Amino acid sequence: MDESGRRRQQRRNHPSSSSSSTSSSTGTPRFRSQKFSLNPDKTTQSSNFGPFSMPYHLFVPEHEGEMRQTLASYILVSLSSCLALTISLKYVQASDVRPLSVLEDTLNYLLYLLDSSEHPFEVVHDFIFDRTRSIRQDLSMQNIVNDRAIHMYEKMVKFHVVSRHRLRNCGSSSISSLQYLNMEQLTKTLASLYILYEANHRSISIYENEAEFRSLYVLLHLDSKSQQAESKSFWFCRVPSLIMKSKEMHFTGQVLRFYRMGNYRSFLCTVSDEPFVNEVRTLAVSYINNCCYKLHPYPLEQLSKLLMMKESDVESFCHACGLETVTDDGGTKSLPTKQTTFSIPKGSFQSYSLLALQQ
Amino acid sequence: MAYPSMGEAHRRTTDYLNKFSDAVSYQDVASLAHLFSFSFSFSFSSNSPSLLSVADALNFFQDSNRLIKQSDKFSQFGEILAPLFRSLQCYRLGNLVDAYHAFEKFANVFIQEFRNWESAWALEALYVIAYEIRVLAERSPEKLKGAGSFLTKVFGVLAGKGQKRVGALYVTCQLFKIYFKLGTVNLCRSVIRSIETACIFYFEEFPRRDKVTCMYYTGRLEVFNENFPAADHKLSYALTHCNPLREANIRMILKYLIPVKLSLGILPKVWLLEKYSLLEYSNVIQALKRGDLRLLRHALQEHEDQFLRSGVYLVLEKLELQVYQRLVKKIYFIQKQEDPSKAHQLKLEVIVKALKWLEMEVDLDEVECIMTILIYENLVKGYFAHKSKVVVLSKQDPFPELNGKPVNSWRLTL
Repeated sequence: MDESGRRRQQRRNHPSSSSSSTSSSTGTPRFRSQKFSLNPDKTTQSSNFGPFSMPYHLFVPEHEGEMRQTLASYILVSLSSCLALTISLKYVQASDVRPLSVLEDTLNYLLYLLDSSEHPFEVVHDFIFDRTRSIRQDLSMQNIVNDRAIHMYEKMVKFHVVSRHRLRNCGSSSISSLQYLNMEQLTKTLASLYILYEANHRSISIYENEAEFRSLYVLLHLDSKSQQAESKSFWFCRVPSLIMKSKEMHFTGQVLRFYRMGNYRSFLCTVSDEPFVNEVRTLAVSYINNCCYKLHPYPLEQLSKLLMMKESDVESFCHACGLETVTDDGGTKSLPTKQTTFSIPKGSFQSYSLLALQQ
Repeated sequence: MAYPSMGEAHRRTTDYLNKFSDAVSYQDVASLAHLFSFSFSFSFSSNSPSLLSVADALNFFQDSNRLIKQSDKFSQFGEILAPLFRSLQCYRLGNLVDAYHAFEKFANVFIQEFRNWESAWALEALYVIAYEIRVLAERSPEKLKGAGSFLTKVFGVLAGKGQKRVGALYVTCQLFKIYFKLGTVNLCRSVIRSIETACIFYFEEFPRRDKVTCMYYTGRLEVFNENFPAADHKLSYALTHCNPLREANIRMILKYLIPVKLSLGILPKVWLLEKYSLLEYSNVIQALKRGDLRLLRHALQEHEDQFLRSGVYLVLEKLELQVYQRLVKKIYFIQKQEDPSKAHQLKLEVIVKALKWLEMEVDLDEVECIMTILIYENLVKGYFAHKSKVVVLSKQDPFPELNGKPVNSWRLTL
């Protein structure tokens, strides 16, 4: 092999240029950690993690650099359209697992990065996503189930909740898979958090934030027919009584009641969370189109108050639902009812701002 | 614990071994089952202290294995008896985790033998084993998952062709109880699928008690998932076929059937609630009859814990739409008495006023929303005139009865 061929071979053998990794710009699966190349030199004190620099030891165990270069030590788990990278357990040594205080520092640093405006949010999310999952793995392997673990899990849940909101505003082509994975991890992290709460219930009746985090599950899974959620009734069976009597669960119960009844008026006055808001708006338009008097078109001004949207947004929303709007001689816009062309908009809605927030 | 003499301990153990061996030889399933019916024998109400005394003897004697190996009559069952004895000893000493482990070991070997026996003569004994596995696991909850896996295996042995299949439903019911206890009711789905696949042609062949239990649990699952027609069918089956003397069981079925029936517009009589101590539903029913939303909310609040624990709270909460329907109907009847020609026009402000009397502060927009829901869900026939803030009712049958059909979930129609 000539010199150029040797150099090409060396590049192929380097983990960051593994044949399994592909360009992130195509949005196709890649090894997440290889975006941030690791310095395998154990003696270096810091490492350049792509856009983020921080002390090496806070991210990975000492031997990880070496291990990542050994393809046989990788276990690849195919997860819908993405590849997730995990390290074979048999190669994990006790010294590889970070102690609790290091994990806490790592997590605090990661969450500090969450507000970074230097990079697109999906890059930040991606970076933190991998590392928080690694933190959870370290916690789990050490079987840490105390208060400090609970606080860490609560913070990680918050990260996923923030990501859920902010990823919606990102425009990259891989967003839907990021959103899916984020939601999946959010559900898993919540489930682990609940197990921690229950494991610690002997020493304390309920935790300070437990009601808030329990109610989060309900708010995330208002639609009980979603595959990720079990029956709401069955879920409530197992929630401690003290939690059910909390103000957070009381609020959540009201939101759930509005949603289940189809009470769009009360729901839209209370909730700002997409996609449920747009779902309920669609419902409201459907009801009004179906039930109102044909000879009295429904004023868009009134509709905008009900749907908590700007009037111009209401017009385009109606059009997205397959309904026509009319303008009379005085310039007043309204929705003729009993139209037969109503349909549920396919794909995701454009983002409509909430009227109340603007005020 | 009574300590017998060595001789007495030896005698009791040998006596047990003889009973076991004879029961198998003569296919005497009742005697056989009795020999490992721990829960019955150790209960305070039991009049047969024999297992207790055998357990004491084993704990004293400590050399039962030698006794088993001494005679061919016993040694052929050595692999079954050794773990069974260990389990009995541990159970007597209150060491329930070890008792479970040993019992499962015994059960595994027994299943292998059972499989080899051509006829289903030992089915009743297998029922006892399935029951004891579950009860033992419930007393050491960390073993519940393992008990579930074990019983799934037993189900596999029984399901299929042949006389033994008639036992599959009993094991299924034990599995349901475990999954409900564990909170993993989603696992019931695979069991139900297996039962439906394996037993679709001969469900009626199963013993009545197993059919009733099966329908009760699957009916409860339908309630959790708010499939009310299916829940009605299954729970009604359980009720119809349940032994009328088993009042506790009837009460359990009614606890779930009543909310289901209410969702279908069918109200039970008060005497039923009184007879089976289900008075927590009485105010709910009153609220439905009177159109009293305040009473419904009060009833839900008063029994919130109970309704949440049993999983019917959300079902009852959804009755709100029917309560609204009843209220609007009453307003209509009052208007009809005053001026029949205008009765079919309901002003929104009148409904607002009625709700205010019920201490519900709502505005016109909210009442408009509620009326559109009622019209959309076919609880009210008519249309809403936004300009004049009036609901115009159909002159024919403006308040259709549900007639056994639940109010549609809007998610299905959207």
